[in-house]
Amino acid sequence: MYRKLFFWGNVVLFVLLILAIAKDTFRPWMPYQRAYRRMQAAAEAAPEARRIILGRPIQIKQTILTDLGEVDRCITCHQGMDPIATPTLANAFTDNPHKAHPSDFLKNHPPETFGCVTCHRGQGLSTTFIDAGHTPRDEAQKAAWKKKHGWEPADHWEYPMLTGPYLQASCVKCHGDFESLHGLEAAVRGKRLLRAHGCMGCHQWRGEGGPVSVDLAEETANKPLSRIDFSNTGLDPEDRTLLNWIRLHFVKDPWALVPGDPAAKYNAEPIAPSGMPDFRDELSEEDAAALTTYILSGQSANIPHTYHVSGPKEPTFQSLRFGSRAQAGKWVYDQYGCAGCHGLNGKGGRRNFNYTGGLEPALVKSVATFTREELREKIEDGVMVVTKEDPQGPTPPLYMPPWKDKIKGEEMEALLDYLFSIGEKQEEWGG
Amino acid sequence: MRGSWVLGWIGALACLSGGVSRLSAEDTAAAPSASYEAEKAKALANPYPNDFGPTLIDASKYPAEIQATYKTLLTVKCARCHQASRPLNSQFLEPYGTKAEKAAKLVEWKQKNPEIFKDRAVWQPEANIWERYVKRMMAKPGCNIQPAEGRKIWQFLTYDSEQRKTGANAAGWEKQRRQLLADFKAKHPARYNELFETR
Repeated sequence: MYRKLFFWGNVVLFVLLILAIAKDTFRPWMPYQRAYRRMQAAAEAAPEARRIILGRPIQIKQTILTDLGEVDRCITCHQGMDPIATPTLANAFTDNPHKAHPSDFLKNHPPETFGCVTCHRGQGLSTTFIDAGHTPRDEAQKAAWKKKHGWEPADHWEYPMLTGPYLQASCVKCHGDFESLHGLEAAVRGKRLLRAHGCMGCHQWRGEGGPVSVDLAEETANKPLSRIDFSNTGLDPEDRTLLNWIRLHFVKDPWALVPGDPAAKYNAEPIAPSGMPDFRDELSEEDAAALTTYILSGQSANIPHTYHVSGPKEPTFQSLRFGSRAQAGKWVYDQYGCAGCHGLNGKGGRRNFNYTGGLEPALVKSVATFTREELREKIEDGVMVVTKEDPQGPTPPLYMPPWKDKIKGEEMEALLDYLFSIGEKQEEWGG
Repeated sequence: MRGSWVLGWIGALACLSGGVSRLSAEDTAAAPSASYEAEKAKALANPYPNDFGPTLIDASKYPAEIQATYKTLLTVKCARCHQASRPLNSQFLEPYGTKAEKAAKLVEWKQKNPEIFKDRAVWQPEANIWERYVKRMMAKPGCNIQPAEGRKIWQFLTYDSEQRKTGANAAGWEKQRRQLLADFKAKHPARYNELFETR
């Protein structure tokens, strides 16, 4: 009896040993390294060089980025970017994972200093395709990856790799001068749109901006997935990322995205849907991507100050030259996000759930009914009490904060000039 | 100053509840909706001295068209969102008539009734103050006061303010208004301070 148990126990252990060796021998990254070695050797004419290449050990490669607090193993598969396997960081291969990094980007961002995930995101420690957090650039690539790699999002990993324009968000984290750099057009556009469409009237960016809603850099860009309710997004589970959550706010009706509980079905008190305007008539898909890119650039990162490249100071009212005071006022209007509620150029009040009338005032219609002093007081004091259309309904999410501590002096005078310049002339009843 | 425009603003909010367009298109709706009532409650939560004055006036000697406006528009449409007492007891004073007539009346008042230019909490004479405020109410999203109706309301307010606040009635108006201000200051000192003394 014991002899048999001993015998079969040994058989099982032996089988497990074989399986362990087999598993270790056929790690998914190993064939990539072998193939890369072969391809490199085939391109070499000198026998000695071929011998050295073929003698290179098959092993996990990793870069320990002490400054950045990252450990990258991406080059385990991406040998074209491994400074040891490919000292020139250049090769003639065209397909992943063998091809070298495009352009001469790595000359200024050596992989031993910056690694990969600092810019691309993903899970640097992983050595499998799925766990690395690869993100398909489109539906076609997703389908192809599913077929080839059984692709799915990495479990419990909140920072999948960035693709397309979104990758520019990483550049902005270090490059204060990003607005003058080639290739960062989406991020630049996103920053411009954020101002022009009045996002800063309600939101803040690192503490600066309106007090009505969340800080886009400190909160939105760092929102954990566990705090996002994706149930109204229509996204497949595999697409439920922070990036898509942000992007959907520009391409979908925010009321549908964040419907709240206006009838108090599930809460003790009614809750208004999102206060965010529906931007679908104002923003294209490209605009949405640009805004998302810029907002993602606000994500916190453990980047030492020595990695930062300083940029020019943000232009101020005093540093800019304007053709007229009304033009200066347009800058003030954009800078403080007035368009967030009052629309582009004051032309259309945006909706405000359960606000009497449902819309914020369109300034072009109302500004001519104010004297200069009245309008100044209005802006300075704001409208903190917002009346409800349905008294039993939720508190309207938007209100006008007092601006007296932010817009003053010449900025206020310029803003008033601008507002009166856009006000529609009204029929004079007095004749 | 602040008081005057805040007054208008609250009035506008009231007019607004003219979310009326959503709730009812009928101008003569007898029973005010819960929304209007809530709007009124809101207006009263941020009171003005005007609100504590009479809600009705004797308009029987006014021209027929002005009387009609008082009965069918001011006490119906305006009163949906705030009590009629708010405009009726306002310090706003705009001369009735054409632009030229207004200018002439203002000059005349300055000569004959200089007292009405001395305390803006009692009289706030301006050439187009009611016009601006009525238009401001109308510009509010959801306000269903049509341009022709707004014009009539404005005509009523200018006519009425001139009739009850100037000339032989100036002293009576001053007494009534000062009493309202005194009562308001006693009852709502913080609000009084906010409206009349902060700026």
